[in-house]
Amino acid sequence: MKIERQIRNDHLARIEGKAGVIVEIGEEINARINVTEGPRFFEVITKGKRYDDAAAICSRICSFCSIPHKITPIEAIENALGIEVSEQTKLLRQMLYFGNIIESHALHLYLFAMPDYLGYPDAFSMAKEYPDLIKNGMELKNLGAAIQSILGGREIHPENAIVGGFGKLPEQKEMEKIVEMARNALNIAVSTVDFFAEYDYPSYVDLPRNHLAIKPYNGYGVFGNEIVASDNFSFDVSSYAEYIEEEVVSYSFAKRGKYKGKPFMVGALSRIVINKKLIDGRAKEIIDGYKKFLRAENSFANNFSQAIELVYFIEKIIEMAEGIKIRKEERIEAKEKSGKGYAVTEAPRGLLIYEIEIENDIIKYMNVITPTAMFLPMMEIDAKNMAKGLWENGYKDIDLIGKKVEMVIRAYDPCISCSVHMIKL
Amino acid sequence: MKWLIVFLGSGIAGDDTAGYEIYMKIKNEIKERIAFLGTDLFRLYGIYEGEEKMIIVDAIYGAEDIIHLKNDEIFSIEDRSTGAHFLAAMEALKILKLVMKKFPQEIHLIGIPAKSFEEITYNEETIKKAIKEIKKIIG
Repeated sequence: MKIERQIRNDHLARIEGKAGVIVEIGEEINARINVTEGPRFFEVITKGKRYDDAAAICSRICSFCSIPHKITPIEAIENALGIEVSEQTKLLRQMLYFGNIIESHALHLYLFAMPDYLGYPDAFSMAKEYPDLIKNGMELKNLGAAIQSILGGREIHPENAIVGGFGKLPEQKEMEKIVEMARNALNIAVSTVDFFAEYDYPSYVDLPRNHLAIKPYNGYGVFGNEIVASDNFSFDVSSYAEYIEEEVVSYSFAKRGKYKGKPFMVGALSRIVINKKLIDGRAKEIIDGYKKFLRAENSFANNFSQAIELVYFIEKIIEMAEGIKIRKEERIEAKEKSGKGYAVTEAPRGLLIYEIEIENDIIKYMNVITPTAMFLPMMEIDAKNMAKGLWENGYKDIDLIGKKVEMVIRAYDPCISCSVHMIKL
Repeated sequence: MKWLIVFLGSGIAGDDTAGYEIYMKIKNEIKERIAFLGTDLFRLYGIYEGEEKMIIVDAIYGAEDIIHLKNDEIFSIEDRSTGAHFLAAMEALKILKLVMKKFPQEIHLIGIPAKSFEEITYNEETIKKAIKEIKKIIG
């Protein structure tokens, strides 16, 4: 194909990790997301390690998704070794996880996405004109960080989520602090939804697509073992390999997911598309009032969906922190020393799958499939359609097209660092 | 006048471990309040307790020796975030200054020379020198 114009951005700004995009405009228009961050070999690093050491190592896959990358392998290990943890442990893990999602969504929406909507090149430029907006983002982010620090035991890579239980238990007065902070943050979360409901979505990226999310054990949660697709098909996580294939392309270090051979989407929008009926409280009222913004066919609705989730998860944090009565518990010992386990959770960016095989307490095999790897092909299609739509409708400004392409990529909230860990040795 | 000393960096990524290394070594040697914030200086927003003076310790790419910058020298650094994993500390600091009700009046930056994310190239002498510099600043 003869290329008339090319848009090349080797380092996409305001996403997590290193990736670039190339758009080629000629008789056809193509887009490629180049993941240039080097593979990180976590599946190999953990091989030969004791299972609890491996879980601690996995959380280092990402500093921003360290909770999902701690709790998901722990669940896979527990499933492999026949460990059933207490209701209290499940609740504390859920709170920890919700705190992670709150921090991640706040960071993405306020510091990465909002500058696009308001026409600023970065958060600092935006902060000069809209300090109160950035302050709102900081309050929400701070709530998520505080939940993780209080429950996780430290600021970064919290360690209290452990195989068979929960490490140092929080004190009751710390729960009261969480409730107070969450109450203060709730209205800010609602205002976040209002902000994103001010903007229409570019129709160039309208495209019917499959969404995948878990069927939560209870409520609109992040834990489950069944994956539900928007084509009304569902499957147990243990058979993920039958339905979610991963392919490799020459220009990317990340694997790329296909569901039944086709690109698909995961993340906040997918969760709401699949599990909307499970949302209650203020978040439900907001959804009912803003139905037109939940457009399953448009990836920009992911920003709006993250804002809805901020409201929902903050409300749930208040409920859980108010309801829990902390009591001392013993760690549950493993019944088995060997086994194979699977786990799937809903990380901020979507489905996160771990498959782990253990032999005599030692990790024999591990496979991790991250949300970003899953939605990369769909993101590439949307990037292409954005460029194509603009070009074919008379927009010939390459800079403008480049910026809009970046904007659609940012709507997915990709975490490139999580996605690059492919290896077969 | 109260001090807050914050350390930035990763626990595992080559020279970016310098902040963590110094944090672990200094935490039992000084009485001032200290905090390791990982790669996220925005966490200062939640942990700041009104200290008048602050030291930020971080690995600095391109530096040849320990760097000590103060106040306006720090804010004149042009540094932009390229993503959440590369949140530029100086950009975060400038944003925080704009949005935080209270902010330290005196800020120092101790920069540790960094060359690689893959391996540690700094040596024990560099760490000792940085610790000595921090102690000299807090007096």
